[in-house]
Amino acid sequence: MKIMACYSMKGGVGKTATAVNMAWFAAQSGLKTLLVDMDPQGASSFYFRVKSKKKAWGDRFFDTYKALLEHIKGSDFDNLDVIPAHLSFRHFDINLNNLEKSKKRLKRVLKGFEKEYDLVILDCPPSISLLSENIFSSADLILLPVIPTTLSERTLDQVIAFFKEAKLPAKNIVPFFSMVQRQKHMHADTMGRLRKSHKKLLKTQIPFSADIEKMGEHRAPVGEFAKSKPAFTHYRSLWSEVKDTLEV
Amino acid sequence: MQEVWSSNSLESLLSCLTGQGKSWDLEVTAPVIRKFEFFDDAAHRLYSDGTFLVKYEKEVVTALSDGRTFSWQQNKFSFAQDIEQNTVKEVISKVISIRLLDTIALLECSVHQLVWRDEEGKALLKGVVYQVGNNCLLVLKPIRGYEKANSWAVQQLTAKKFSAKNELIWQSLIRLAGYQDSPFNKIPSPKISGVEPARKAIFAMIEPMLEKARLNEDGIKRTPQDIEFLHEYRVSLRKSRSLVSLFKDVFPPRQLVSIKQEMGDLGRSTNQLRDLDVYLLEQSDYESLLPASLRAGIREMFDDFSAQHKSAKSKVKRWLSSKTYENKITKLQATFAKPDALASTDASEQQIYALVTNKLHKRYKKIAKLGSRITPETPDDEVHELRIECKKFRYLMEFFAPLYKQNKVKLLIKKLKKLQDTLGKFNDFSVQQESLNAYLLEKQPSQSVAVSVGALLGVLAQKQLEQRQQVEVKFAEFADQQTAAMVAGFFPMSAKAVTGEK
Repeated sequence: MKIMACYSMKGGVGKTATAVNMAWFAAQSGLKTLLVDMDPQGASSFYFRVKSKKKAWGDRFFDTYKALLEHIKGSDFDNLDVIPAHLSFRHFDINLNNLEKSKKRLKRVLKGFEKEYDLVILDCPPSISLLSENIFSSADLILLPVIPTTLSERTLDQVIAFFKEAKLPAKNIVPFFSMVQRQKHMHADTMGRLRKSHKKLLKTQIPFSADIEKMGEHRAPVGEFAKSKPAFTHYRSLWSEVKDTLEV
Repeated sequence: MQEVWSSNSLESLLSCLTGQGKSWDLEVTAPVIRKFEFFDDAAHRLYSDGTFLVKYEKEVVTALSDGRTFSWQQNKFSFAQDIEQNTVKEVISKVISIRLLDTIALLECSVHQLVWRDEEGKALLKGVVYQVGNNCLLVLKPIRGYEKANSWAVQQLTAKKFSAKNELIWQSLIRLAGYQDSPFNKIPSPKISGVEPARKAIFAMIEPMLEKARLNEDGIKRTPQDIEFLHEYRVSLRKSRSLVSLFKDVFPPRQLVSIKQEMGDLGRSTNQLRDLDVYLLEQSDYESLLPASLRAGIREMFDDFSAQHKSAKSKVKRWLSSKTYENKITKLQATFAKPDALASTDASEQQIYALVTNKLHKRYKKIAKLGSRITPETPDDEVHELRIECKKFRYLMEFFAPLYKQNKVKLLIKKLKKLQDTLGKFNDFSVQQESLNAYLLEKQPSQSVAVSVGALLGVLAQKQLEQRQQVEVKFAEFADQQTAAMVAGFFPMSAKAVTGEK
């Protein structure tokens, strides 16, 4: 079983669209996939039309994997299940702080899914926190969307520095360019620069696309409503690179 | 296992499953016509194993007996080896080995996909309906985390008294297709108790063997690429011939001669084709016996064999379709249908148990005597004789195991197999050399072929020698004190020692 985190310190970079589409491609390719929506905003849950149980349960999230089982919902697609987010997830850092081995809890709890799933995808909240540290230590790959601007460059470096300080494996960070607008000079310049300094950057770039924005209207992965469009081709290519990197 | 719900009306089925006041809606897709083709070998081994291999358009689906299901795209396949899904290929190869996969049932259905969605459009439950005329089959596909919707549907169906069967949908569909078991599985096997008059028992055993041989004729003519049809045809004839030979004393001498002649002719008429089938099957094994530089010559020889194979196949097809053949085989079947039509002999009315037991003891004695004489200097002919005696002994045990304690007999056969293995290989290598020599003589092939064949002959001679050197040891391992005791103990002269104890 492999674990992939879709992570960004900033919001609005295409993280959830990526998580949703990667999960869809993974399931289509035959991998038994679980998408865990850890962001209290619940965007990926919204896309998959899954609702959480009403009662707050975030405080039990890190107990054992058995506590998670009753919250798993099958998506509309074969091989793809979802654990939808709940507003109580906003307390994750506090919950974790009160527990022993606070940095390794997530990894422990996800281990329980080894027999059932080939791939677990974590849709992460935009923050850098105890929860993020948990995510960083449990993920085999941290897929990091980067909008090619100077500020994003800075943020990427901050994340890498954080890893080094916390003695986390920075080699698991796999950035890719998201919401790219080639006509913008800044984008083109930034991409040129970053490709030289960051060798792990994936070849595939996801352009800014109205079709991707329409995911909110359709409430579905692009593969379900825009198969003939470039957005689909790009995400498919992204999945192919991710699949090879994950060796799954 | 699934629950398969059935109804004779699609309308009543669907009307019982619509939301009706619940916060969900049933969506039914327009029906798609699907032609399901069920694949299996001639004896329906997959079906007996609880495995289904089904194709519609380019989509192939397998339900394995352990519950796993697989689906993939493939245009066509003829043998297990052709299957493009590796796990399925492996599992199915174990069940049907090199047999041809053919269509055993066909069903044209209307297929409807059902989805129940909530007010946000989320699927809560899925289902599939297969419709053939008035017959409707429904399979529900519950979605994890939405068990309530599934329970509701089951409740609705139960309340309206629709019946459900706990089986795979493929089982239900193949039944709708009018599935019939393979005729190969319907050949009656005679129950010999031991007290029957010998000739009656023998004839009762030979009849189904001839029937089995005849059942394979169609496969030999129509689908010779499955070489097992010819093989099983020949094995069935060979078994009947050996029964006749083992029990020649139950036949009046004149009729014995003509029956043996007829059976021999029938067997011989397919010798060439079988030899070529085996050669071509083992081509890569032969090639691997030689260094790469000599393989081209062997390949030329095999191209020759392939050409010969083609004409041998047509020859056999013509023969099996001929009036002459039809007359011969039906006459033979008629003979064995009437044991009382022949004059009796001393042995023909004896109880079969006594006759068999006597022969078992005699045969073993002969084997022991023959084998003990074999040394490295003994001519090969005696080794061949030993092989034939062992074969007869083995056949006797296999044919009549039900008259004794079967698990004990199996033990003895297992022990004998080890000796037979060596003797068999020795014989195979000798036969291969003979036919390759004949090939060289007859065809006078080009130098490169002759060189390669010569090299092959060298390798085969070496291998034959290795087997020959093993014969004494293997024989001693077989014909030891334990075996003598087994023969004395497992085949008691008095039938009372065995009857009622099985």
